[in-house]
Order: sequence, then C-alpha cells, then structure tokens
Amino acid sequence: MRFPILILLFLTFFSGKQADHSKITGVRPALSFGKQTTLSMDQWQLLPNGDSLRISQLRYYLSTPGGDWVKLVDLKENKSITPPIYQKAVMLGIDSITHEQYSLKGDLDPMQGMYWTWKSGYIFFKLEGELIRKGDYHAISLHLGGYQWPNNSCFVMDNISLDGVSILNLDLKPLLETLPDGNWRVMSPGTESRRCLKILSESFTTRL
Amino acid sequence: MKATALTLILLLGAFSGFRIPTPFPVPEGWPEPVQDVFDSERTELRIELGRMLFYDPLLSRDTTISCESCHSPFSSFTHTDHALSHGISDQSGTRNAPVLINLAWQKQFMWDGIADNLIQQNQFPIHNPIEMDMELDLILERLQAQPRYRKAFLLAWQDSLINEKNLLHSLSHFQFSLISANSRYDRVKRGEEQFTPKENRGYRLFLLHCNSCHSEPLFSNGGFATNGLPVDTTLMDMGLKTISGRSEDSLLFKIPTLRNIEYSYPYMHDGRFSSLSAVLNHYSEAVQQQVNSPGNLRSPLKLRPEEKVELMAFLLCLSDKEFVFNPKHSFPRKTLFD
Repeated sequence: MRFPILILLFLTFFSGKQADHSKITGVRPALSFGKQTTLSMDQWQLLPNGDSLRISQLRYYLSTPGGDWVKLVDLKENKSITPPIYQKAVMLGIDSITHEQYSLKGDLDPMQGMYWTWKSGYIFFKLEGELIRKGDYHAISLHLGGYQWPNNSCFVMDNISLDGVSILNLDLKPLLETLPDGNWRVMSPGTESRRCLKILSESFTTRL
Repeated sequence: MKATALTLILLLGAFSGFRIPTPFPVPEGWPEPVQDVFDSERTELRIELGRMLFYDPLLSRDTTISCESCHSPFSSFTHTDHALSHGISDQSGTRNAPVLINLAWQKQFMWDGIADNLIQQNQFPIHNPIEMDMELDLILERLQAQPRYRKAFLLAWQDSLINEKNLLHSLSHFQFSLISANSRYDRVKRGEEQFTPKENRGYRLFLLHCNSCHSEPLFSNGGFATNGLPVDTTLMDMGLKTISGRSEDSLLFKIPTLRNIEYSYPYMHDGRFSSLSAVLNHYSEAVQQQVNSPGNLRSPLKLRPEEKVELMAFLLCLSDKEFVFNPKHSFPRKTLFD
C-alpha cells in the first residue's frame, strides 16, 4: 500500500519540477562566430576565416509586441533573462507602440545608454569592438535601430521561442561577413541599420 | 475675419508672452549669473519656442540631427551613446559633447572656450559640416514654411516673419532655463537632508582634492586646466592652444561641472573614460604631469580604495534626477502654442 503512495509522490515531484523548469530557469545569452567558435567579451580571438576580433560592448533589446516584456541584454554582464510568460513571439528591438508609450523606466530608462532621441527612439542593438581583416584594422561601431517609417527595423525573430530553453545564442558570422570593408560604423536609423538588424534577427538560435 | 483672428493672437501673445517675464531664478547661495540674452526679454513663450527648436531636426541639412541628438535631457543634456559626438551622415566629431546646464554661470563655452556667449555658441554646431551642416537662411526658410512655427514666432516675438535674431535668442532662452540645483547635495545645503558618514567623508576628500577646479556650488570654477591625460594621437586635440596659439595653453580644457556626473558618461573632453571609477583611477594613479598642470595635479592623488568609494558616494550626491526627467525640458509633445 505504501509503495503506490511513494510512486505517486515520486511522480508528483518530477512532474512538478518539469513544469517549473520553463518558468523558473533563465535563458542565458551566448555569442558565437559560426557554429563552432564561442566568442568572449574583451578578448582578441582568432576567427576561422582568419580575422581577429575583439568585442568590447554588445547589448541588445528583446521584447514582445506592445512592450509587455522588454529585456536589455548585456553580454558583458552575463546575466540570464526571464522569458515572457504569455507571449511567444520575441522581437529584436522595440516596436513603435512601446516607443509611443514613452515608459522610460527599468530597462527602458534612457540612462541605460540605449536611447537616441524622441525621433530615433531606442538603439536596438549596440556592438563596439575592433577587427583585423587581411591585415587592416577596423574599429566597429554599430548602433542600430529605428522605429519610424521608413526605417522601422524591429523584426520578429522567426522560429525563436524562449519558453523552456536555456541558451539563446547570437551568431555574429552572418553580420560580420556581409558588412562591406570600411562600413564598420552605422550610428543612426536608415537603410544600412535596417539591413543589419534583419540579418541579426535571423542569426539567433536556442538550445535546451 | 483674418485680421480679427490675428489681433486676437497678438493680444493673447501680449498677455501670456510679454507681460509676464520669468525672473531668472538664482538658487540660494549661488553667485549672480554672468550670462544672459541681454537684448531681449525672457518670457515663457520664448523659452517654449526655444524648446521646440532645440528638439527639431529641421535645423540640420538632412533633417536627421537636432540639438537633442547630442544633448539629451536624460543625460543632463549631453549624450551617452558614444565617446565623440556625431553629426549628419554618421560623421564623427572630435570631442565629447558637454552638458548643457547652468549655462548662465559660464563665461565661455566649448572645451576650448571658443565662444564667449551662447548666441554665438549656438551657431557653431549649426554651421559645422560634421555636425548639422546647415545655413541659418535655409533654417529660416524651413521654419517660415511651417504654420505652427509662424504662429509660435508671432506669439513669442509679435512677428510672424521669422528672423535670425529671434531664432537664436529663442534657442538661448531655452538653454539658459536649464538650471539644475536640486541634487542631494543641494538639499543637504538647504538643511533638508543630511549626508551619510560615508558621503560626508567623501565631501571632505572632494574639498581637499577637487574643489579648487570643480568649485562648489557650480562644481566648476569656469576656468581651464590640464587633466593629466596624454594627448590622443589620432585627434591631436590641444585644447585652448588651438584657439589662442600660445604654447602655455597646450592641453588646457574648460573645467566641466560635476553636477549630474552620474548621468553624463562618458567622461573627459574625448570621452575616453566610460565610467566614473575609471576617472577616479586616472586621477588617483595615472595623472601625467605637464608643465602647466595645476598644483594638485602635479602628481597622482594616490587615493586609498576606501577613499575612492567615499569620493564616489559624494559625487553621486550631485545627481538631480528631478531635473533630467522634468517634462518642462523634455521633447515638446504638447506646447504652449497648441
């Protein structure tokens, strides 16, 4: 008689733990170049394509439509993020509705250093670093964003759900390989910023 | 009908804009201001018009950059996005934008003191090809083409024909209205609050090491000094010497206010330090002596770790959060002219 009770308790314990897993466990942001090379902050790293890269700052916004959930991810802080509870669609950036709400609190506080102006709105993605390619040195300053037409660049990250995953990886290879030499500085909303953000929004993958 | 409406507007302007001049508020214990728009009266409407212009990117050639682009209210009217200011077409400037607060107490403007009044200063970024790259005549044309500006200028200046003087005076009236004087330090000085023991020790360290250049209550003595930094070999910015041509002015930069220092990162004339602790470490350990260094910067201050923490605690008392979030200074979603 005791045996079935123990089994029941055992099952309850594990089923409970599994149910909590997706809610409690945070998602850890990670960074790579291609599938094999993990990138670290503030370190020179030799990449498989022969480039040398050092990233000093990488921050980006993730949010859900309407701004119920907004997270500023800072790869330097190495903090995990709590996924949104109700909505599945995650965007890279902040949509116009959230901008118009003019919340200015928490992760949206302009003092976070990710706010341009009322017209340009928030910087969705900020990458600062240095790259040596074919012997030439390039300082990288990509401050990407734009919420107003025609530069609206807040893209839904297709096929990305943060529910129940533990790693959210950003692969910088597609972006760095499509940036033409000499164009390492994008500092305002526009066609180039939009193009880069589109590539980035498709460069995320998740792992359990 | 049109004439009646115009008369009404002028009457309204006369009552709301001219008959109620706003007195220049001098915070308790502060010296008298040294700057003003001397040949035009300050009114609420002129300040409001200046605010509209300050936030409007039509002041730049490609209508992408406003004054606010480099002088955001949330960072005490400087920017925190990057070390050096940038202008239209993502061009990089050569200096870190200074904060725009308490300007009426400043004798000179810019890091090298090139302008000695605000009306003159306002024209530098407008004309600079790597900032706004614009001509005043073209700005006037653009403003004149917009009914809301014609109305605003008419109400503020009783003249719907927009001219250079009224444009520059409006911008200056707004910037002079940016007075930040309600930090924790100010509340302590007014007897409303008390420093913690740590802040108090930091205050004493400040008086000992920093106050001769960053003199209270403005936290700048308005002068020029070296900051003990080696010259950036890319920028080759020689500071006051660039203007005066005198070798003794080499690497002298205008002493910035420390008010709202928490919000106004990055620091120094070229924005090379991104954190306040990096600045303290520089003055504590890495200051390079120059022939014209002020007495207390002839050698590193050699602060102990706990002293740095105390000094930092005091510097954070200079933050005036109410000022940076004051809707009177922020983007004019609704104006007195609406």
